[in-house]
Amino acid sequence: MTESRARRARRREDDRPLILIVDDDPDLLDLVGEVLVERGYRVALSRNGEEALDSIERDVPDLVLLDMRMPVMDGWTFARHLRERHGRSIPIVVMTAAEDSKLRADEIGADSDLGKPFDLQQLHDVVEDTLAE
Amino acid sequence: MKIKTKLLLSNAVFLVVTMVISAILLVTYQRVPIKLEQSEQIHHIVRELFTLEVALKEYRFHRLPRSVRQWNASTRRLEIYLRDLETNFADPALVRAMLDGHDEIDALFATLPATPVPTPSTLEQRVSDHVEAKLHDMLLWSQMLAFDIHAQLEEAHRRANVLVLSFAAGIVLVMLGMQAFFQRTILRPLGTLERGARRVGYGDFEHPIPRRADDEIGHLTGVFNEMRDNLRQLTRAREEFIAAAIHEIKTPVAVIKTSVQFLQQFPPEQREHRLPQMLERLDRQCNRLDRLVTDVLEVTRLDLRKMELRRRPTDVTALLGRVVAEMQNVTPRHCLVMTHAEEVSAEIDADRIEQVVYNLIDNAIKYSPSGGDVDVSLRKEGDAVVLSVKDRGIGIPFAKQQRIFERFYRAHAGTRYEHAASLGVGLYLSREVVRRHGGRIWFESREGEGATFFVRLPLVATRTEGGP
Repeated sequence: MTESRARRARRREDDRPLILIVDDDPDLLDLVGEVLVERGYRVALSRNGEEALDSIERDVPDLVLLDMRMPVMDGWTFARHLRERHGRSIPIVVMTAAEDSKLRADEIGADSDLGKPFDLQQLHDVVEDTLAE
Repeated sequence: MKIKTKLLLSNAVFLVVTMVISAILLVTYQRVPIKLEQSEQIHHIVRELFTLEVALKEYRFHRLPRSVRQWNASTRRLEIYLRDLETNFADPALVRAMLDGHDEIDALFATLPATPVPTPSTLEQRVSDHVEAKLHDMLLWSQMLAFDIHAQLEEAHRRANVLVLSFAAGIVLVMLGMQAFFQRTILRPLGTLERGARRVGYGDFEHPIPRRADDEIGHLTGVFNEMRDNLRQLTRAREEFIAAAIHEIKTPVAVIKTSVQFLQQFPPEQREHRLPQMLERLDRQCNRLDRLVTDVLEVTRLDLRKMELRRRPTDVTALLGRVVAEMQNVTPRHCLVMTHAEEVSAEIDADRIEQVVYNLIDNAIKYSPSGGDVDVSLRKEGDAVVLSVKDRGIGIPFAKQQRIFERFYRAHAGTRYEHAASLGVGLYLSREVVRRHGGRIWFESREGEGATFFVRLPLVATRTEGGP
């Protein structure tokens, strides 16, 4: 595990954590990306689970912000594929408009949840806390 | 068995029972007048026997010549009465004995001198003694007959009473049986149906009403269960619609909220270069929110049959151009191509037709995930304008084509093309709007080969339109 982290770090150009954002709404996707870049993270944007899996092949993120209901491949399927390939090494934060975001998060064994609409501060706290763990 | 059959059957049973009992009663009572007649005849017979006795006494002791005439007249009447009685079946042995007795005394009396001589002979004494004795015998027999008939009359009365009572009891029993029968086969299933209907009324759509029989009530139960099924589906669809609407509203709110909070982080001079993009985004999401709320409102209005059009002369070409431009901003992967031969103006409800066009282009984008051209065209056809939106997406499976205009129906639910952004009302609302314009909406599609939706709207509003 330590080795793979080290390898990952070496491959990167810099040490800023990479956050993969998966959401089917382009505006929200861009906005959250912009917010996190401003905060000093690197971001990758995907519009559905399939795109997100491709993105992970190219660059392994330190955190995934995941919407659940998406066309082509939804959050549940994506999370299953991610766990199959990478175990629990990449933390997932479920980002959903569903009433019971906690329950959705538990369903896929996510590390945390963020109910839409969220406060900017909440977003930063959750991302920082999850990365720190 | 049908209730109609049951009713007919029970009526038949009732009729048969009544007829049988009535017949028995009738036969029994018919015997009574015969007995009464017999009883009267015996009365006559006794009288004639007394007349004969008087005539005999007058012959024997008073030696009156007229007594022979009296005897003869009376004895003829007696014979007639006896023969009558014989044909009427009074105790035949006794009647026979009396007839024999009558013949005997008549024959004996005939041996006496036709005019009584002053001093009777010993033979005459003996003959008349014998006749007198026989007369007494006959009186005794007629008494016996009278008793017998009386007893028979009593018996007939007793029987009739028993019959009337059992007739009443039989009717009561048949009525009770029918009551129980209908209780079991009609009232109880009706009760079950009522309880089931009440449960459905209280919103329990899960339990089907048990169907007990294959009759009218069973049929009605089937209809009720069908209704319950439809209600359940509609309620579930409505719940899903509300959940989806809430879910949908949250995303633009999230974008708006995050955008505003993000901008607030910066001092005014640092906001400047971010503003154009942010405002554009905010505008888009506000429009989206507006459309969502309108959708929900329109569905409610349609439910309440309150949708009214505000038709004004509108530049349809410009309207279409606006929507196409706005939608092009949302999708980087699709190329929206608009073609039109001429400027077209029509009397339409601009807001609602804009919503229709928006829905059609939105669907075209949503269901062509790999991108491609979306052709939007407009042309005049006689006194109508025809719009079309053609995509090169996934198309509509044949099996689902029938239902896509249904309220809350989401053709791609459960497939990989299911969209969170689908409320299942877009096409339904579009069809209702177009119909109220007196127009028509239809489509051509093959699975995997995209879909083309057409909307035909009359250029001028006529008075008959606008109703549901």
